[in-house]
Amino acid sequence: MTDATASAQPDGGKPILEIADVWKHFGGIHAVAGATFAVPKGSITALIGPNGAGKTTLFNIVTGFYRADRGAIAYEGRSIFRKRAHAIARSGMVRTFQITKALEAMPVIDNMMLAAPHQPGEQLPTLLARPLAARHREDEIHERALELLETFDLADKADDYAGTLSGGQRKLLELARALMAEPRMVLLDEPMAGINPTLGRRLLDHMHELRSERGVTFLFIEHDMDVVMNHADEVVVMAQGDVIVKGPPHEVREDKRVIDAYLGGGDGEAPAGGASEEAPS
Amino acid sequence: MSAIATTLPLAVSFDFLTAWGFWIGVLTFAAVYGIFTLGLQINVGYTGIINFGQAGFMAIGAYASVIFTVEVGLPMLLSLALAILVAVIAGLLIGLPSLRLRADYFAIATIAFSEIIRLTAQNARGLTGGNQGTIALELEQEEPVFFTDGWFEVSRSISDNILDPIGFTGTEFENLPLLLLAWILLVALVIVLNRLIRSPWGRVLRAIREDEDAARALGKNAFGYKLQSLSIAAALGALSGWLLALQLQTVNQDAFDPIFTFIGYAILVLGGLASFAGVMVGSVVLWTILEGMRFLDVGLGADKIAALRFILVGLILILLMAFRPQGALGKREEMVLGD
Amino acid sequence: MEAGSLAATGERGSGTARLRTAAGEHPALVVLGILIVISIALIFGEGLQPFGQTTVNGLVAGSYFALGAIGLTLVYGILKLVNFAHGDMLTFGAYIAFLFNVTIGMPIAIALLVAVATTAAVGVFLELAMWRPMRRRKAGMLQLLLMAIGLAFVLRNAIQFVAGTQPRRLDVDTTTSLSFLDLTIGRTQLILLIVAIVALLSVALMLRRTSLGRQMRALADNFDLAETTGIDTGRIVIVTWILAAGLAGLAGVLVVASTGSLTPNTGFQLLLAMFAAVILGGIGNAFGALAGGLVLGLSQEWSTLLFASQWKIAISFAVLIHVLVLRPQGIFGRARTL
Repeated sequence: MTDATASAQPDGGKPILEIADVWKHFGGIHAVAGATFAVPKGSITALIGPNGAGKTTLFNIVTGFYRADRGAIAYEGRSIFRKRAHAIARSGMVRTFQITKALEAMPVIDNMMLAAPHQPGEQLPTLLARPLAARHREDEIHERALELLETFDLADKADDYAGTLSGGQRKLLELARALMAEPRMVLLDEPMAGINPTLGRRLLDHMHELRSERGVTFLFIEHDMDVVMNHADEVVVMAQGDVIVKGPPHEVREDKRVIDAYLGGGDGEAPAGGASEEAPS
Repeated sequence: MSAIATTLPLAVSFDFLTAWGFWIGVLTFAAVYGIFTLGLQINVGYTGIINFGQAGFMAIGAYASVIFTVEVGLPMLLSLALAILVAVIAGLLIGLPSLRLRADYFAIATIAFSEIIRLTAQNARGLTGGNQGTIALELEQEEPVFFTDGWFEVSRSISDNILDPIGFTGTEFENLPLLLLAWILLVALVIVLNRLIRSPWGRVLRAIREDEDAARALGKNAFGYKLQSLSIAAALGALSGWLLALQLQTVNQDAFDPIFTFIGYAILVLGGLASFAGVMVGSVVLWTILEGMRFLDVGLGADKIAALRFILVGLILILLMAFRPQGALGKREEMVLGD
Repeated sequence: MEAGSLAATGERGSGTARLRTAAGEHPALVVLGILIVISIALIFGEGLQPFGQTTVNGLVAGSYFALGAIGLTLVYGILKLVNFAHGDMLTFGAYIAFLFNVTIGMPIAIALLVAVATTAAVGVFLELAMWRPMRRRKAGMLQLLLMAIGLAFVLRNAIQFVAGTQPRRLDVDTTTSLSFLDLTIGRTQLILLIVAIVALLSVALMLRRTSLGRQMRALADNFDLAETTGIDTGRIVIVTWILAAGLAGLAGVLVVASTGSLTPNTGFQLLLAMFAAVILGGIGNAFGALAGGLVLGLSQEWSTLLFASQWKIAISFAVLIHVLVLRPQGIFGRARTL
């Protein structure tokens, strides 16, 4: 626990997300075994580790898609342990998925408008009782959706089915969609996977912009060490369900335990700082 | 009238009086099961839940309306409203424990629910009239009370004041008012549902249909929406049950066999998934074929003709699902229930 | 990290929580326990002889539920297909047996073999004509579900078209019965019960001990993975259908021989009970289907001690709904991650 307080907190003050001693097993195997760490507010934190370390499982637990067996999770100081996924999403923490969940049978603009918060039109009683208010809000979020699509260069695709977008465009859509909710924290599951370097650059630029202009905190899982080393303030390393090291990138890179975890963990890839490797996922 | 007769296949003989009687009957069935299937469309075509229990909701609608009218003495519309309420409550009771299950288990749970209703209807003789049907309840009253009494007044009034003057006089047009009522309701519901599905609420449903986890990640309470979808289907099923009871004038549990839920699915796939208007088309087509086949004069016994009718329903399901799963009016892009 | 900022909301073991976890880890024992408690209650309430007699009846019924359920669960386990047409395969087998036993006049043993073989052949035919092509086209669950239902309609009504709706009986000895300890069982019923038990045990052994069984289990675990390890999935799937359909045919004959009445709806009426058995036992688990079938048969027959027999079927539904609500994965299934 003391490691966390020693790390840089760009914003100063309490961490936005705290995870303490979280456990989760699936039929005899512990996917997450006592993981503990904190994410400083306004930081860009990377979660790395060999395959099977429990990173995505932890994401699923934090965002409410899995129920942890035990432990404690607090977001902005309030417990979200075993809170349901949709409630967590509404409270300002959003996520993307390893395999993009763009809703392909719906137009891009619908994907975006879905994500907006506070829609009276989404509840039957308010939809029927106050149709004008619903209409008004629809127009509002339609505008905002188009603006966001602009910044991600997707505005001309607004009326196309999301299924017609390329893989990279879908990733951008997922991020744009996540931002419609005006989140304070975004969890990205392998944002760089499967997209070309140019697109990747844009994504990272957006990330930095959002952090510096709006103070959004980012926690992302990545295998691309180049990205991790050059863009994260803070790195958390998991192996076999537990957090083994945390700290700034340059410290983590040198840490023997991390190298051991990768070499011993089975995918045989040490976190080199140079070439950007795409680890088999 | 002869024009209609010539559009039908040659080897058809009419058992009853005129072609009008046939068409009024068929088209009324079409509207009743159209409303029935609108519920399925919301569930399957727009929310992605596989409801195999719709016949159970129809049964509740029929029996509850009859019981409220005949045994409790409530006016027609009030007993309809209460019957719909009972069905919605039943929907919640089955939905709350079952909607969190995966799709195929949910389907099985809903069939079990539907069969429980049917079994109860068959065996609770005192409540439902059992095998003898609701007519038994009506006749058992101190002074026989008929569920259809209230409707017949309205019906006669429509006949006298609107239909007679324009030429639809006589016993063969007796049931025309019911046809009109059923179709007005069906068309109105299609219009309302189309607007609802284009609303933000409808958008959430469609998201859940495609990917429930994505919807939850966007802050939508998927479970709650699925419950709403099921409740609406229950209400529509109940309404169709009320209409069926008016049309048949007496019902017993045979009218609520799961076979009718699957006839609803045949209508659904004929008209196309995710198309409310398609339900109207599918229902008319299917019922015309089903009822029309009764009159095939090819020398086969009634049992065999009945068997052929259902073989046809089965073939429709198999062939459409194999070769055109989106149905006649459905859109390929909306076919997301590929799981 | 300040310890105070995090409330330790994790669950520790309270008394009832620990009991529930223990129950969750030994569901078979829980079910056995429930059966024992019910048995004791019934013996005291209704008497030993009625209890014993209904238990015998329950085992007979349970054996054909189990035969049907195993086929259903095998097909689901390997193909992830909920075969709504399974009940009608029972009916088909029974009618073939009727054809050979009554219409043609052969002894029941031969008729039984022909019935099993023919039904198995139909199962294979349907796999090649319907299911395999749909799998190749990556058909979705709803498509397969509705096709299975359509198939059920076609089978059931084709049988009705050919054979009519009047109830049929098999030409078996229904009068000779054996008595033991004040309990009676028809001789035919006993023979068929033994046949059923032999069949069930053979299947169980085959799945556990033979390489074929191992391969089937591998496919059930992960179809695509098994394909890459060189298992001839096409062949295994065919064998699965032979087994499932054959057992269904056998079950159909048993049902009719025991209950003495066969209509085109016979099999379909049992479908829900078979689903209940499958889900109770844990879908995809053959041993579970066996256990589930027996439990269901016993429950149904025991219920006749308390309720009028027309409510017997309601027991299946009650069991089904309880399982779905309390433990959807059944006795031998694994819980889902969420």
